[in-house]
Amino acid sequence: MSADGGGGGSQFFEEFIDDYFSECDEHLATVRRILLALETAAGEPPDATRLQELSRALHTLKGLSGMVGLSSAEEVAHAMEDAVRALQGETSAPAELLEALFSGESLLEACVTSRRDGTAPPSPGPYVDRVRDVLRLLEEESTEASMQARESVGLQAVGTSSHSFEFVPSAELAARGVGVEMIRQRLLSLGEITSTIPRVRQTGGVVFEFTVSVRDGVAPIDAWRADGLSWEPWLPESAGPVGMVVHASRPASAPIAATASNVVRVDLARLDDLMRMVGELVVSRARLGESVTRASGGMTPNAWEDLNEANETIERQLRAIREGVMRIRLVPIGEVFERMRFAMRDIARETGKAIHLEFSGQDTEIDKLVVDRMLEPLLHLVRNSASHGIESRADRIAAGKPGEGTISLRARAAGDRIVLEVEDDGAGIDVHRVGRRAREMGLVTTAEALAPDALLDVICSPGFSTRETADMASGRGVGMTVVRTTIRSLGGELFVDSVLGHGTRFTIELPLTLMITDALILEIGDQAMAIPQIVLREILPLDPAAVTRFENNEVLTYRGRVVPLVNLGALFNFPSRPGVARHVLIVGSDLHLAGLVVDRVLGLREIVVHPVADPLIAVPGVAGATELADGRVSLILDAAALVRGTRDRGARAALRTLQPGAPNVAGALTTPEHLWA
Amino acid sequence: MGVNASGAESYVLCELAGTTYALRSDDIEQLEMVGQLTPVPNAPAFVDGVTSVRGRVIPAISLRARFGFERQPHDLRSRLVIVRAEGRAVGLIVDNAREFAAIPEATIHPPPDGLSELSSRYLRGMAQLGERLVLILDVAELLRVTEAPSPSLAAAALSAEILPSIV
Repeated sequence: MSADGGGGGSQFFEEFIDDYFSECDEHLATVRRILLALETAAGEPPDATRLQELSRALHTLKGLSGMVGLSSAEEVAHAMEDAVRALQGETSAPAELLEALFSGESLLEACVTSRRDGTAPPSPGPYVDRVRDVLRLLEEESTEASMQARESVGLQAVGTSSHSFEFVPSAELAARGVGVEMIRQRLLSLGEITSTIPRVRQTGGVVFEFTVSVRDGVAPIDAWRADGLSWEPWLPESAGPVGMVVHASRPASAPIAATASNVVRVDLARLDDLMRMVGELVVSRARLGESVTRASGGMTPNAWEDLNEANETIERQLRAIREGVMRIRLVPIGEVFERMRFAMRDIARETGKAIHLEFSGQDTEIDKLVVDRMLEPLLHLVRNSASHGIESRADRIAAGKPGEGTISLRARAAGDRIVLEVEDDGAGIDVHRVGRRAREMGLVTTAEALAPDALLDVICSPGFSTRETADMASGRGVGMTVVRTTIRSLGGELFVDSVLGHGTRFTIELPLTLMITDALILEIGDQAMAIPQIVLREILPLDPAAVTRFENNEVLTYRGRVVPLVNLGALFNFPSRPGVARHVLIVGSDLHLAGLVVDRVLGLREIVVHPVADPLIAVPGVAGATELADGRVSLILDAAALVRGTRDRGARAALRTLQPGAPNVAGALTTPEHLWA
Repeated sequence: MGVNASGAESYVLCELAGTTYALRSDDIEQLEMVGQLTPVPNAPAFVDGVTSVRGRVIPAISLRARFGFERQPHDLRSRLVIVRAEGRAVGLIVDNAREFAAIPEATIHPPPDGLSELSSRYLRGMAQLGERLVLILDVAELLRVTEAPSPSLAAAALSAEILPSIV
């Protein structure tokens, strides 16, 4: 894979590959941000600081890619650098040049991804040719404009001086945790890194040359020399080649550097480890708590009070640690929204529609894992809105709407859940058309109009699309299935509201964090199971007189409503002990309630949620597992799925006709006679 | 790693209903006593349940049930062999696992043709170790063939997550 790394050297490079990827992600984000900024201000002379930052990011990407032997990325980055150079001194950013830079960024991303996935990188040739052609054309149009601009490069912040650093990574240093990233963070504490150039040494191995624009009054710490970092002797004040001072009033880059140095990038796996250890501590503490309770008889009351107080203090402190660790995992959703802005450019061009993207609640914080997993689903919803929702300019004006469509992305916290919305002011979903199409495809059999729930079921059915021909942005009919499955796998739910002629809103509800929660422990047969407290509405003793058979369902009259019951013992085949007074847990939303029938209720505990992702044990109705104080594993009930099971019964009965020969795999939940075994 | 200078790889030998099986040491994360297992409703029949191993919840497979032997109660010699493949960790319950052996690659023969297709898929080969014939298991394949097949289009349309896995 490594084109020029060859032999023992390439293995050496592999050790830095993780650093490479995280560096690339960061620099690509910079490139995207600047390109968008340049495009927004396309009518004005491109900002020299931005161009310089862009060149620097590309240059670093080029150098890093060369080092890991990814020559395709190297060539693309090089061509992009040429394009950026041509932008300097232009009175406005030429559209074809910006376009070339945007496609370059996508191609660079594809190259890096291919390296990550171990697939063949895309060929840079056509792109390099394209940039050359664009540049030649521009050159012919105006030669002198680009000349004068080159002089404004080399902009330097006031109160800084430029210094060179060299870092020689080695296996020993890596074993001590000293890598390029750590060195970068250290240098960032001095000022701004203006360039990073990796070089292959004659003697083998690599060396990184950093140029740092060091703020006055700071200096490197001598101890860093022991970590493979070297620099020229530090002569205070006049030392180093001082860069030329351009704008005295603009202390340009210092604040950026200061922010960056406050941020520590942590491998998510390390956080997971930490979280797991906290989880183990919670279990140990619970064990201690039980011992303390048991010890109450055998001690003097005073001694026991002390012990108990210590135990309770530990519990409180553990809660604080747990929350602290969880907060580390939270990141603002805004970075995902920013990616949408970037994607929107392509969509707008493909569809030829004018679309304005509006954000709110970018600061809303959400678990990093959830953020990463939600990127694709959100992208799909935004594409759908742009492609299916927003009408053409002519249609919009004819309908009395502004020519430019708006897609709003909103985020907000609601209790311990996060609500995300993707709303467009487009044509709305034509329920009748969707219904007709669904009938044609055999997804529904009734001629009635689709209810909102059924509408979402149809939209999210595999293979459903109202488009006769798929376009680049959407219409392939696979996406919505994946969107809903992803959201549900994160413990969330998707909703849709649509008003014909006015627009469509998709609402996503997600749990804020996934890891530790308060739960009710119950017994079903001889098995202890847990259910998150947050989903519980009420616990009632099961009064057999209040249970009615209604068609094929067992239902309970509850506060004047009729609530379907799910007998968990029968569903899970954990036979109830005879003579146990059973309970009903009322769960669900105001719209859809369900009653879960269980045997005994053992009490509230704080539990650590372990995912049960393995395909062998990912079974319906089970959301995860947890370890109780006695060391046994208990399964956590997936209340949302169980409620859906009862809610979908009616819809399912209709859908079952889809393939008459198909076995009734949903039997366990759809034939409630079995639930009262 | 698991290969010594002479090209022999290190294996853990387990017994199951009188037959010796070999698992590559590199695939094995740890060996544990079989502890308390929590049954998982509607999981494949050969899944005995889940258990917690050092803070992780993993499935435990009865290799006896998987290979069509009768289950037997766990005793002090029963072991949970925790194997790792393709990012998954799964416990295999075997009658015992007491020996390590280095098996030279050259002495490993392909499985005979007479085996059913399923068995030969997770059998990497066979080797004669002194008196004993040892069956070498391919862990990645073993875990792969035990996966539930992806739900059919019809099943997926019925919102996949609530349906029992069809195995």
